[in-house]
This record gives sequence, structure tokens and C-alpha cells, in this order.
Amino acid sequence: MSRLLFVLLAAAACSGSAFAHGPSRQKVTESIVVAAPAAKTWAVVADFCSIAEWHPGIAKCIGTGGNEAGATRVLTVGEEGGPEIHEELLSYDAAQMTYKYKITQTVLEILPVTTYSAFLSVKDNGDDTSTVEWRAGFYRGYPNNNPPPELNDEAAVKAVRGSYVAGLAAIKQIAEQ
Amino acid sequence: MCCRHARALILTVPIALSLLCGVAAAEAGRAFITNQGADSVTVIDLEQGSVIGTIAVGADPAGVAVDARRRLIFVTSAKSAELTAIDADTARVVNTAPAGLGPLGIACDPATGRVYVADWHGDLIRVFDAMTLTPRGQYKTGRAPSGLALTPDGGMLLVANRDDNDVQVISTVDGLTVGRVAVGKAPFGVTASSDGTRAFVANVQSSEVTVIDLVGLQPAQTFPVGRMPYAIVHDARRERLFVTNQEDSTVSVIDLEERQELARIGVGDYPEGIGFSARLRRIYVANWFSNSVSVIDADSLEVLGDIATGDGSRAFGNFILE
Repeated sequence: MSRLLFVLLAAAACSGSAFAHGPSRQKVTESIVVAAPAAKTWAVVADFCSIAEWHPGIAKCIGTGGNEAGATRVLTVGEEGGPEIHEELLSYDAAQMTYKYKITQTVLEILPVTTYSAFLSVKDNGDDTSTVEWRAGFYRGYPNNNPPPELNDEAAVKAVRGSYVAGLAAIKQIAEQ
Repeated sequence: MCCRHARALILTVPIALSLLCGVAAAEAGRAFITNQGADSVTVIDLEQGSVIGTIAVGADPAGVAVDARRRLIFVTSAKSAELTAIDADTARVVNTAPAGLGPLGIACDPATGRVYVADWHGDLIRVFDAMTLTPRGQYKTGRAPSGLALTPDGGMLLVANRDDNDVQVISTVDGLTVGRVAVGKAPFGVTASSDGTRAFVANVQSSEVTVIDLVGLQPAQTFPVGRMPYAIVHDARRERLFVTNQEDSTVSVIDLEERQELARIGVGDYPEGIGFSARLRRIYVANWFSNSVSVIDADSLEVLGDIATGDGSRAFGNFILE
């Protein structure tokens, strides 16, 4: 990482307007069809802290509060000792096979977003297949005008989309076993 | 300069027909919904509850204001940093002007023909002439000015300074700031009561609505609402507020006389802009994630239906023309 980027990241993380954000929230929606019944697919992801078991980019998850609204999870990215992302469960509906959560603390080098919240849901397609949908709304990492390329809208969308595509492919692989 | 010919109007058959019947077009209520992801404005016929046209505008359109006297719709596009004027009856872009670094909130005063645009990155209000979009001056604000509202007499401009946690009150006669009222964390949408004595502001990060006494220039009341409230409309007849809660996908209904939240109505995901047709007694909510507008009966508080719009509907401001 360049020295300039580090300074920018530090400024974004530490400035008094850490809650500031860009003018336009971004969104990502990714989905995948799984050749397994919805219940089987849901079982893979149902536990809020199961993400370390299926997402290839997450090494570890430490959760508190189970699957109740207000539960938290701390994700270790990449490998043991890697950077951490902190998330909070906002709502959980087992009957509808969906939950919603938000990031409470991120590391901008790996996930350059702010004010991020997301849904993960499983839908029954009625033919012994199911569809997993993962979608998020968030602002870019750099709150002010003229963001550096690493922290602009496109970088934020690319990072989230990349994570979702990899995660969904892994869910499909596990559920279809 | 005016007229981006490349951005052609997508004229649908119903709106073309309504143009032929000029009287009907003038009487029909319309909603103009900015679609951030589609770089467009969706036109909804309020009586039919259906989409009658789509207008291409600048990049990342967000803010909207309606001048019923001139029959002009003004739209801010945050990414291309433009102000666009649309003829409400022909549904054509008639003028475009550069509008600073990050234009977002917008309000217009039909009596004076002034359009006020909040420059999110510039920390100022830019004033434009409604007919020509010629700059007419600017007012310094606090940090990250977002929502704007005018008192009904046009005398006071209310500015939600998101990163300063206050609402700035500017006299439009001389451009002087008459007060800054401390509110909750990250105020965003602001609206004035129809008698001009109160303002209501949604505090995104403290999940509450502050009622501001515009006579005493001080906070009068605070109501907790859902998570990440964004924008507000005031139903003066029933003394109620309707507040979009982004993170909850709901609309909070506050009874100002009973001093309590009456209901929380489920709408689409990430509801942002909210509008009120006093004539039809209906509330319109733009759902940013769901790409739709939810229609709520202002009396029964029932959701009457959803209207599909364009990608990333925001409609931040007064988007109802009637």
C-alpha cells in the first residue's frame, strides 16, 4: 500500500467526520441457483456465524447472541490473525429464510465501504432447487469529494460483489454435496 | 448550457396522449421520482397509480423539487453535479446547469422563482433562477448540507447540516443566518409545517425526529423512530408525521398531538424520499433498494400498493405536483 493511500485511509478512519459519507449509496445484488431444496441450502447459512464455514475469504468467526437481533460476529479475513470486520444482526426470520445485518467496523483496505447493511435470503424455487440472494447497500470508503481510486464508488462495489460471488459459489458447492 | 439532445426523452404512449389532452394533463397529480442507478426520473400519474413516462437526466439523480406555478421540476444529480429543469407537462428536459461539487438537497420558491441547492461537498447553498438556472448567489452553511425546506411563505430556508448535527435557518430576504438549532446525530431530511411555525428533521444516526420551534429557534420535542430515518412529510389535517426508516424498511407515523408513534408501516427496502398528496390523502414512498414506490393511505395507514420505478429510487425532496 502506498504511503499516500495509508495517509488517506488513516484520515478517513480517524477524522472527526468519520460518519460522513459520499452523496450516493451503492447497491449490490448477487444470487445463485442451487440444485438443492431450500431447507438444505438454508441449513448451510442459517447460523449467523456460519460464514467462516462456507465463505472462502473468512478464516474465523466469533459470535455472540446467536441468531437474535442484536447478535454480533467478528470476522477474521483471509487467515488467522488477519484484519477483522465487525457485524451486527439487525433482523432474523427463519420462516422466511432471511436475515439482515450491518457492518459496525471495517478495515478499508479490504472492504472499502461505510454505512453498509445487507440481506442474505434463500428462496424455494418449487422444483427441489433454491436461490440464494445476497444484497447490500453501502457508501464508498472515502467520504469526501474526489475519492482516490481505491476508495471510490466503483472500488466499493467491486469489493462487495467479489466477496458475494465467491461466497455464493461456496454455498452452492456445499449445499449440493 | 441547456438541452442535452443526446439524453433523449423516453416518451410513453399514455403521457403522449395526456399531452394531446392538455386540460387533463394540467389537472392530473403527478409524482417525479429520481432514480439514482438509472440516471432517470420516473413520472407517475397519481390517480392511475401507474408510470406514464421516464426522463433521462444526469448521473446519480437524487434531489427533486416542484414549482407548481411554472410547472417545472428541478432535479439534482450528485455525480454529474448538475441541476436539471424538466417541463412537467411535456416531460422534457428544458435546462441544465452545473451546480457545484455535490448537489443533493433542493427546494424552490414559486413566488420568487428561486431554486436553492445544497452542495454536499461545498458546504454551501447555491441559489439559481428557476427559468434560466442562472446562479443568483450562495449562502455558507455548516458541514455536509443535505435536506432543504422552505417555510410556506418562502421567508426562511431550513438546512440540515448533516455533519454538524444542526439545522441552519437562513433568511431568504438577505441571506443571513438567523439561527442554528442543535438536533440529533446526522440530520438529513427536513420539512416545515404548513403554518411555518415548526420544522421537523430526521436524525439518521440517532434514529429520532426532532421538532424545531421556528419562532423560538430551539428544539421543542424529540420522537424516537425506526433505524436510520431519512425524510419526513407532515399531514397538517391530522397533525401527523410520516417518516421513512431506511434500515428498517418501514414508515413511522407520529401523532404530534398524542405525542407518540402510532404505527410503523412496512414498505419496500431502504425507503428514502417521501411525498404527500393532501388532495388524495396518500403518502408516496420511494424505495431505494426495491426500485419502487409504496403508496400508503394517509388515513387508514394501509399500504395500497407498490409501483415499479427505476433503479435506486430516491426522490429526496418535494416530488408531488398537483
